[in-house]
Amino acid sequence: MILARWLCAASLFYVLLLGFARESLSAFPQARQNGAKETHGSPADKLTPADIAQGKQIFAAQCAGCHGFDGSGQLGPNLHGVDARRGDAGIFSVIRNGTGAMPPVMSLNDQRVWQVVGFVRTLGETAPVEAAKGDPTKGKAVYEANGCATCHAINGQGGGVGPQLTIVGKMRPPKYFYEFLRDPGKNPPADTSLPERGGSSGYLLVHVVTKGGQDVTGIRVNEDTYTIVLRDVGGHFYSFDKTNLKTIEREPGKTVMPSYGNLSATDMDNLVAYLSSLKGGQ
Amino acid sequence: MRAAKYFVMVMTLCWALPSFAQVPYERLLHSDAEPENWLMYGGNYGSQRFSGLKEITPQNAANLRVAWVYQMRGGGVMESSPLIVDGIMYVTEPPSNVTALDARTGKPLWHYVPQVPRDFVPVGLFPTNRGVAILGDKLYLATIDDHLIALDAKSGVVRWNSLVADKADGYAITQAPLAINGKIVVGVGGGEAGAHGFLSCFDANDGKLLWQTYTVPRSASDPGADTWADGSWSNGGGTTWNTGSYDPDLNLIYWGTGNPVPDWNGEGRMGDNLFTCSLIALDADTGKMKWYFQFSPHETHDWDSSEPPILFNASIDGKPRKLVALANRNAFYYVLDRITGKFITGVPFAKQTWAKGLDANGRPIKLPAKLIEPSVEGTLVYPTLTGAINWTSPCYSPITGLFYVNARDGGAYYIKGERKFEKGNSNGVVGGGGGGSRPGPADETTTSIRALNATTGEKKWEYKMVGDSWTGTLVTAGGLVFSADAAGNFFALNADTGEPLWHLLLGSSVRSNPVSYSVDGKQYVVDSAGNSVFAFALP
Repeated sequence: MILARWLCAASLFYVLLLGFARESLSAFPQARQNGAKETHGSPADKLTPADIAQGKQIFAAQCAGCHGFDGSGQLGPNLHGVDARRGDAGIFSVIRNGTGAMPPVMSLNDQRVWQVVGFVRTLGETAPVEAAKGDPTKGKAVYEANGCATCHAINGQGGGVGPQLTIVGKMRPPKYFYEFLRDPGKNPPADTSLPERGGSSGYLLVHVVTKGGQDVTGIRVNEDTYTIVLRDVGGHFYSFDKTNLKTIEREPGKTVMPSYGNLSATDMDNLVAYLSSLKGGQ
Repeated sequence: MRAAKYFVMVMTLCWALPSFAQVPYERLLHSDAEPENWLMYGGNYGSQRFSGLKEITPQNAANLRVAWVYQMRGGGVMESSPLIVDGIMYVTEPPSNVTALDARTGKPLWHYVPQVPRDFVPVGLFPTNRGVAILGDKLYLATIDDHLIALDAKSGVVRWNSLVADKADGYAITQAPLAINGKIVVGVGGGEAGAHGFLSCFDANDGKLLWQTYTVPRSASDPGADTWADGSWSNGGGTTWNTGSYDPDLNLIYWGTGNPVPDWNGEGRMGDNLFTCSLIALDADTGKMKWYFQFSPHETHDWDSSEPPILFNASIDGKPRKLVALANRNAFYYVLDRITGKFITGVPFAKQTWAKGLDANGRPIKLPAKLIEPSVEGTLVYPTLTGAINWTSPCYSPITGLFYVNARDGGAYYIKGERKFEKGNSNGVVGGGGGGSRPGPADETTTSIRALNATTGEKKWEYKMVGDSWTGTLVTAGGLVFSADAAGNFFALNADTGEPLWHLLLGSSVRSNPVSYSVDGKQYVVDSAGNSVFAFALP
């Protein structure tokens, strides 16, 4: 009920949103708004399978303690899809120079660091699967007709409320898209926008009511022991001191993303085919 | 006349500037008598991390503010617990650097950078350092590449440099050494590289090795070898990577030991795997083991027992007892008799799903293997791989009788990998873990400051935080507990009730143990966040 009420309010925002989204989006924490994967001239492109296997070994010994053996994050952030956010050179730079609580890795030579980059950019990729059965070109039209770009960006174009989809076809099999589009709250993607988030669930919907009666529902952007920051579908941030809140309701299983279970079977196939075709590059 | 003026000027300067005093063993022995200083890693030989200072109280803690900030020179994770000696702070910076600061202002006085080979990458641990020891006029630093270095406390000049271990065998050191009477005790890390754990004791004056005691058998005739099937003691493990404690009256050193190797696949090392995941008590003069207590026999989740052992005295059944308490990574809180090592009590202090409980001797009653052992697909077990506690220190107040611990509640999917592993370290590409873990359910891992009755483990209060905090605790005679949450909010709680009194967001995670000291009667509380040291005081 809370969600329905909020979605109604959100739809009222929609027209306004088109007017000011461009400014609001600049505040979103995604590191690379252009979203483009760097493919030209990256030393990682020249790596052999043996290099990547070596990178995997180094990752297991040096990186897995914080990022997990599968790169899905523990103490450190989830690295799935990090290549789309930072690019090969960006990953190399983080390994070499460190960032936040991550120490710089000074003592691997450049070749070894590139081997790690080569492995890191495979993290989260799905095993090769059968091609989606729809028509990706028609699927793109379905994507555009349903306003998906309001919240999602592909190659730098689109909104920033939801995750970027530039390489989503590499990260998710068609089966996932079918399930997710029908029930988007069931298995939300991890939020990799802030390193401090660690193992917390992404895109968690939270509803708060202040002692003064303000009622806000939005995606949790940041939370610590004393404060919580929410973002609504219009991209507005709301920062609360928890001592001023009457209630905080976390709503796992719910999401700001509407279900697309009402699409025709053909449209759904085509949309899934389009999403599956998104594998980076302009 | 001119000479007299000069003399007066020099004396005035000496009085005004921080003084570099000597720290004989007697001062360490009675460290509680000088609460203005923080003379060793654990605060005192019992590792209690209790400050006798009383200026900051529950009534005025809300007025705390930043007194000064020191930003370290390089990058990396700062996990240092500084020493403060007569107005001088000695803090370490990654990977193994030492900086002396004016404790009143945070201004650097000297800086020492050891020559760590650039081609060395420790396996399974951060290249950081958690502090130095002081004895006489020297500081003692253990480096990431396994050297023990004595520095002149006044200048940072190297007095001697001894090799503790060979880094090629996978050894690496991040801990602060322990200084006792004329001796420096230091342990080693490197369990994920198959390093054989040991504790070494060096002559404080010249750096000569006095004794060395291994924690895992090195031959079939060594004690404990029969607890490793098929000679698997040769795998190694049982590293000694966190600073231990000392009882001067009993002349015993207490030190926790780490995991057997490989970590997550125990099939090739059936048996209890002594003396891994244990607390060992060694004679300080000879290194001979007086007793051991193994918390986690045949461990397969990387739950090292390297947590700081806290020594305290209390009455049990009307009789005064010398006790040692340890909040273990496996989620149980243990109290032992520190004369004999005999188990007294043990209760969970965080969520655990691997044992029904402990038997009368403190041995865990494990649940069926299919529920708790790592598997190819992953087995969800609580606590996490990082444990209910890791290297960060709990603390104990002799005033409240409470043991304060930053406790982690959360689980992980434990994965079994290949049995085979390679020992040693070859430019960071060797891993000997035999598996690993992936995170448990999202948002489930939380941390709380828990105040336990130190004698029984019964929880008196808890303060829940958001996120996965990696900060130790400090308790003061003023009645406060200090720690920080995962986001970097450094806070003060009422030590009696857990009531939050003050907090300040420091802008990065706080991954070190807070300490307290005073200069000219003004009390400071200090901790580091990100790459900076923050000192707090009342206006």
